[in-house]
Amino acid sequence: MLDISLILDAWPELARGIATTLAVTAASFLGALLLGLLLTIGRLSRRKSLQRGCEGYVALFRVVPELGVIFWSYYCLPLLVGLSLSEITCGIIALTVIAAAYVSEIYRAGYNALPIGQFEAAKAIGLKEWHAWRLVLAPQILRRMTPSLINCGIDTLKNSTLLAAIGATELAYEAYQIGNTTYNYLTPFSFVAFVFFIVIFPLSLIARRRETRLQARLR
Amino acid sequence: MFSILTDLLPDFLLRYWPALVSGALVSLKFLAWAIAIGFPAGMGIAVIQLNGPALLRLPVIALVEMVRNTPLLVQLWWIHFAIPILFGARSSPEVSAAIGLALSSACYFSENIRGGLLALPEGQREAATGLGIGRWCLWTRILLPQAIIDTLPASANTVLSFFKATSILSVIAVPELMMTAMRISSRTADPIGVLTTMTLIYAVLGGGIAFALRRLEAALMLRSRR
Repeated sequence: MLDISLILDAWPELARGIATTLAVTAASFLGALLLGLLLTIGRLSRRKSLQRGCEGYVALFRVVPELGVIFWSYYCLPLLVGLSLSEITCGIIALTVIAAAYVSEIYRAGYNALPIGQFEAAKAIGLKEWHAWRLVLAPQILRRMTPSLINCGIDTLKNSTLLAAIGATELAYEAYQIGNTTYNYLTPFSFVAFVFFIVIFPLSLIARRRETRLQARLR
Repeated sequence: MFSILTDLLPDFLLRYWPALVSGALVSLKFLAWAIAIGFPAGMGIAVIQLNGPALLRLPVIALVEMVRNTPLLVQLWWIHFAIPILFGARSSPEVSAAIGLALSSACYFSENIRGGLLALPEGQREAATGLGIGRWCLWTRILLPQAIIDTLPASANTVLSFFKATSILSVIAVPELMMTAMRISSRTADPIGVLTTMTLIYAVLGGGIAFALRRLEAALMLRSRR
């Protein structure tokens, strides 16, 4: 049954787990924002081989399970590069690589929605190129991309729990360990679910709200 | 001819391919379950959310939000360890997995279908009432079919994400493809060969599912063009 004192006793481990989960998610998501940009540039390139390669990357990560990528990066990557990598490092690499495919889809949708006519119009009324980007194009594209990017960040946060499978000491792993030592699994798992809910729910409300506002604006 | 082929294939594949095939079948079985239970249940949840009595609506909304805003792994663990407390009997990994997947997929499918229902013009309901069409007929014959077809792309994405999610079942020891591959990998000490093969199997299966879903989408969209 639920036993709050368990949470209080194990608070140092749980707090460390929360910090690790948040740090891993932040690092992976930032990495994905960059790698996704490179992928998008590759997909828009005129070189067919580069374009195909990047398209293939995105298609592959649409269907390969996240956990498979995590295991691959933990068991195979160190052998291939000949370095010993920590669980956390392998996990961040895997989550980055997974999220980058989605981020690239979001960037490309944003690029496809670029109002090029407005760019010319902005230049015609005498705005400098940089100003046209910063004042006219960028705000519209960012507004269009934010809901999807927030959702992608949420997915990365959820996926970070999978790192428990390779023994990275994030929140889900810590909870499992507490369950193992106290034989009370329900309390730590309920706590973890609660923590994820209070982080994710507001984020997804913001994403939904922005999405509806965007739809209303586009209509 | 055949011996050349077998020489080219890695050793583990010759020895363990039956295990990989049965693992893949278990993965697909759980995906089929998640769709077969989750989709109809999702339809029910969507209708209750939009048109149910308040007493039913609020708990259902709370459930959907709880499921959609927490990680599946935590849900599976929670269910796996909560069932014994609630029912006094140990749960097998398969039963916990089946319950967890069905619950989670129902909530995700319901959100797609609900979006489709909300996008339908209000006038349809009024027209149906005006024509004396009953509520059951209105929902099952008029509103839901349109909403489902309109949101097929979103539902196809949900199917794909649950195809990937079946791999998480390995964490609670369901012998599906991922767990089988991990076992073979530790027995043969060849993680690169085994895990890469596993990734390829997932890519081929997932590609096949994505292709089939696109075909289904095209066929249904064509039939319902209005």
